[in-house]
Amino acid sequence: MTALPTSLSGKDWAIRTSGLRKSFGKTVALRGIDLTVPEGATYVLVGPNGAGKTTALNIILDLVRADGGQVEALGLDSRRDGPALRAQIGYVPEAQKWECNWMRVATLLAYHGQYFSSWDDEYAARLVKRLEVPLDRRYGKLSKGQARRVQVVLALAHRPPLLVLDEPTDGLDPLARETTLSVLAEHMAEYPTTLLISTHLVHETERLADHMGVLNAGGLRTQVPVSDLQEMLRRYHAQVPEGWSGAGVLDGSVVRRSRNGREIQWTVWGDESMVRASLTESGAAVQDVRALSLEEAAISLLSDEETSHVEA
Amino acid sequence: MSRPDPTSPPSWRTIAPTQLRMLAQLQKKDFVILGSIVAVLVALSIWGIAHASPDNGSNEPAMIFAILTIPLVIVAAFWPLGVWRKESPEQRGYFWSLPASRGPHTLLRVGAGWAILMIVCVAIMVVTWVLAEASQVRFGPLEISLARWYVPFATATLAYVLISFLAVLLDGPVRALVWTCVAVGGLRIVAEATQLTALGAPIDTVVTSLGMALAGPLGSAGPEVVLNGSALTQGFVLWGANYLIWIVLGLVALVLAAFRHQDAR
Repeated sequence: MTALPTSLSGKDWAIRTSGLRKSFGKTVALRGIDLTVPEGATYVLVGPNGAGKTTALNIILDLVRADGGQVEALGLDSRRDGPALRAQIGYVPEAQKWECNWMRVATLLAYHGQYFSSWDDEYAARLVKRLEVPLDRRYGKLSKGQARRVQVVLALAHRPPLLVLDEPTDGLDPLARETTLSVLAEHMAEYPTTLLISTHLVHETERLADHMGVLNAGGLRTQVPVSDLQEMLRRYHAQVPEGWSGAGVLDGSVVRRSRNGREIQWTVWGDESMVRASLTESGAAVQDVRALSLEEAAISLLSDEETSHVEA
Repeated sequence: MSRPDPTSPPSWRTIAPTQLRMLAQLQKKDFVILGSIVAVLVALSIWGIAHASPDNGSNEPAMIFAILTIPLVIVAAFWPLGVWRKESPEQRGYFWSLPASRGPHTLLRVGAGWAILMIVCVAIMVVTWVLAEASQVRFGPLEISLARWYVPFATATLAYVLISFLAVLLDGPVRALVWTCVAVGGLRIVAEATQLTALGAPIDTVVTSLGMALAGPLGSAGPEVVLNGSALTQGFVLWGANYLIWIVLGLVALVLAAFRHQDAR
């Protein structure tokens, strides 16, 4: 049986980190992660609050310095070439309120645009119209959703080759969320861009994602192409005999297991026919096998296999 | 003509005016407040000129230095708080996310703030000059060497640099300043009570030196300056030496604070 993969194969990376470590006092935020985002990919970084997602993104932008490890993005060392790298990144931070709260939105857009030589006023105006951004209001007086949409305009209007979005739909109402994701999809279609998006609302990014990384408690549980995830991750529902001790051969491939009397429900990474065969061989009668949605997969991958709910 | 590389960070020549424009907008309210204070001071001065006796020693020409230096030092000390308003290090995420090297970018902001402060100083000095001209009518010609008009600019710059260092480095610069004063005052009282000169003497030296550097030559020379021209020269020498020490220390501290990497929060 194959274990859950933690690295991607390939050679053209937009972002590659190796052994990234970071602690804030006694709190360990990242425990040596090797994140690899292929060029042109839409990589969704999933994890619960406090998993280390924001810290990882901040290190990529050199807003936070790692205690150990390295980051290379767009062929640049984030620490050494921070300004050159940030010039090529469209960034939506986790925080919606900024220090520029006193600026009117139009002033903020003009100010921000001065920092990016590829800033496109025309495109910015289109985005403003599409996202219904109020130009004449002070940024600090905007609602959470409006502030978020301004940040999206700031990130996209210079058409960067890399977008780093930290919870971009946080605070948006369903309609604004839909519009923002559509704008993002259109942007991706129009301009070749690599997208690294951090979220805990996986279902929203399902239509965009082609790679997924799962970060939990500062460790990278897995990172895989979504197509592999859909092909290899299955939930197996089976009846097992009294005193069944489990299919030992699957150890290392079982992502999540739960049991209710003689019924088991296992989420397993591996070739379906081989998993079926192993379970049958161990005495379990497989009753149902189904593929998981991205969100179900994320939830399974985020739950701790050892401590998951088990009823004897 | 070559087009700028779309992937390269902006040049400092682009960033400098951007920061200057941004600060001018940010500090609009400060200008209104300052303008109101200056207006009140002008009114008071006009009243003072109209009612003062020509024999009154406090209206001696050299006092112009004191009249200008102390208010400008106070304005300059508050100025960095306006430059970094709502941008303490814990709120500086946006500023740091812009494509510019943090150290020079921070120093450029400080420089832009200083440039605006100097414009404000010039405005205040023009007002003072007008008042001084007006006072000639009653007190006779003032003998202020033009070369000495740089003093208020210099002391204001020192105050600005020292407080900028705190504002760049710390989340609560005012709190830090108050606590430093309390700590120094407390140590001085302890030294006095225990007659510990090894503690008291260095504190006195540092405080006196900083006081001289900020107060200008008049403050350094003492009140006899108004009667004795040589005391003024001595005051310039004393002030110059102390000023040099503190401005160098302040600038070094400011540069170190600007280049120190702080994690975004």
